[in-house]
Amino acid sequence: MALAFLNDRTLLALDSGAEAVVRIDTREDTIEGSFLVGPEPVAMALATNGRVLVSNSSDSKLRVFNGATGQALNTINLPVCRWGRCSVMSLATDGDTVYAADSNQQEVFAASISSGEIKSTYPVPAGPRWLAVAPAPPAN
Amino acid sequence: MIPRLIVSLTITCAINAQVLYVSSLTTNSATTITVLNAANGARLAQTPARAGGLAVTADGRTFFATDANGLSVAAYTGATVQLLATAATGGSPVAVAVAPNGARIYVAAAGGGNVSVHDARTLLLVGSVTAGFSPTAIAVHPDNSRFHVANSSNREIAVFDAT
Repeated sequence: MALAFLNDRTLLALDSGAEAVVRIDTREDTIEGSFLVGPEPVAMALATNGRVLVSNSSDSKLRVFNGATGQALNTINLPVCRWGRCSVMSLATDGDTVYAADSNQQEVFAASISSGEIKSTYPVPAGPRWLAVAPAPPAN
Repeated sequence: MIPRLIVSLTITCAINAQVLYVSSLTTNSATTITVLNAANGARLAQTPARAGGLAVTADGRTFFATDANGLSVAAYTGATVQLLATAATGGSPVAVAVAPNGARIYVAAAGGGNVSVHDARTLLLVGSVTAGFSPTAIAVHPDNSRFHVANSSNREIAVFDAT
């Protein structure tokens, strides 16, 4: 499972077993609705403009949805996966960019969320498992 | 026959990001945290560290990494990866979240079934709650008042008062 607040009221929960994202009203602690997100989803994150990214392990894709409506917006094919499936992967988003790494590789890929194009490839130590993105801290 | 791989994907998110943190684990258990310039991939820093889940404060000054094979969470300086503090957690801490106001961090210990709450500056333990079966994800409400914990074993979400 994965959790992320869409806004100050709605919590999104990825239910991998149901292959869906569930919208939860956190003021009422009730389920608002849900939308299907493709086969074997394993992770979820929010990008700008209420977009939700879901990674699907069985077809090695990232799917982009409107978090409020569940409308499918785009699909990103990952070059990091072998044999048609992903190994241990990590993703992070920054505005319109998603960063993806496969633990079997030694690279991080930067892709455009809106176009799905791979923009850059960065070499990293073997076995990348977790990614995080943040503002550069101010210089002291 | 093509072997079926065990798959685990994770997504984290930040806005206006400029620094990319990568924790790596190789088959011989050598682990590192590498910091890249997110715009061009230039390596800014690298340090040996047993890192699991990662989280970064909104201002980028501090990031946190769980030791998923151990019983701890560590705080580092943003970008330069200097160790600031460590603290004990429950067993197999797999996820860490920073409160939006940056005051506290929440560590989900999948093995221990609990979430420990720490002061984000000192990592001193503020409290601990029994979360359920295999807590693996945390989200803190934007107003910092509550936190939600996903328990992967029974597909439930537990809600806790954070005040």
